[in-house]
Amino acid sequence: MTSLVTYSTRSGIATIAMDDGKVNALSNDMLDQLNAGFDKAEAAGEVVVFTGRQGMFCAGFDLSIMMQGPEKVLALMEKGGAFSRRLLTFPTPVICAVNGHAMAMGSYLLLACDYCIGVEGNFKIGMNEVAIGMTMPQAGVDIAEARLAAPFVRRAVNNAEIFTPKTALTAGFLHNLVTPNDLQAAALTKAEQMRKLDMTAFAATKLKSVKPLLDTLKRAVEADKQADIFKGT
Amino acid sequence: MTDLITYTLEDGIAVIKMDDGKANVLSPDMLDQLNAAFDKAETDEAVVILTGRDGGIFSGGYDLKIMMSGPEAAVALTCQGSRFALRLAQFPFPVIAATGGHAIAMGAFILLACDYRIGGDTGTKTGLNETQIGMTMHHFGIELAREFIPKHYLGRSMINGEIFGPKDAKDAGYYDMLADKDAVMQTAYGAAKMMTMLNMRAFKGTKRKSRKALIAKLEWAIGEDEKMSVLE
Repeated sequence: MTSLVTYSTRSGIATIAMDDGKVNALSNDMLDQLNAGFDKAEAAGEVVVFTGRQGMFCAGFDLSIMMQGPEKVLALMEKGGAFSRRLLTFPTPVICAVNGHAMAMGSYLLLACDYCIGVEGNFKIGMNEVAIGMTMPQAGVDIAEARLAAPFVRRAVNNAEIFTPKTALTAGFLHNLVTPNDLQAAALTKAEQMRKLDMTAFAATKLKSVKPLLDTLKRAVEADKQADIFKGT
Repeated sequence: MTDLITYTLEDGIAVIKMDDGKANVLSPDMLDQLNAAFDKAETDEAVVILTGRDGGIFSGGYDLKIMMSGPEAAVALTCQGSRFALRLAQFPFPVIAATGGHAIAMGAFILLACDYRIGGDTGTKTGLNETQIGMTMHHFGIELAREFIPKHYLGRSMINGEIFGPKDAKDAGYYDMLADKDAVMQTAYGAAKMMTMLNMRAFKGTKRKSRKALIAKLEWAIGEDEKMSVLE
């Protein structure tokens, strides 16, 4: 198995970085390796900085798998969904350092993190599902509704609008914007800050506040199993 | 009982001012006196301006001495405060919060429960620091925040324990407008005067109708919080 994810740790802060040398496509391998990275961070009780490669955070699900038929599609989407639910309930803070583009499922990962720092520049952030012929899964609709600023839900989900980092900040994909050179330092500073939170209170408050969304997602996941996103259901 | 609250009424506008000489902590006394003042405002059918110390803090939140004195006292105080915020959320007359100072934890929740909030545009700190100081957010706080904090600020506000400067605090929904610290009260009078022109029967009816689901949720939340043996 090629190494697609690196895990490094320093004074209570883990950095989990995706790098497949290309667009950081979410394949089964990539998701397995991400889970392994988060397993380590969870075992160590670390605050996580979750990042991609320069200019590219993540372009979404691996399209070569998405073209292999409904069974493979469903399995990959379920794995990705489970990973994003893991982030939504992860017991320690996850700070997303968004190095560049974040598209489709890549942008959904942002919505599942506790704090997202993006970089200024000519980068694309958004959900292009509808543009490329996929009906948005119910779980995707529900997460967008729970996390994005209300006026942007329609634009992002239905209209498949792709945003600049600046607009993505207004929409709620990002919570702060820095220059590419400052990204790592900004993420570590934020991680240091959040490491001072009371982690018991953090984890419990996160669970309590995300509960309605998790209940909704449970129903969505079942509905998505019956749907065919390539046939408009 | 020391006077922690002053109540003044003029031209249909009641100013309810908290001042304990320190951080305006919400103790049982402070909450009792707030309730007594809102009783008067209700009788006087007044538009209310709720404010903190002159040029100073709005409120630093619950009295930590009591919060640390034992689980029973902490739960009781929390629920007393929640019921006061619930009262604000369904008060039959407009309540305008006005402060040039800080509003932390329950102080910030009170802002959220008011009909219109005016904050100072420099040097203020506003936010919910519960997870910083080891408190899991109570159900009431979570439901109130869910209603009044925009989705993209919700996690930052109630899970991450972020304390905001004025501009972010406005974007996060704690304030509807910002004014120069020295002009906050004058701005509040202007807003209150405008709101005295509303038809109060229509105001009350619309507030009740639009908040029916919220009020039910908040009542449920207080019920859940009351069951807590500790604030965990």
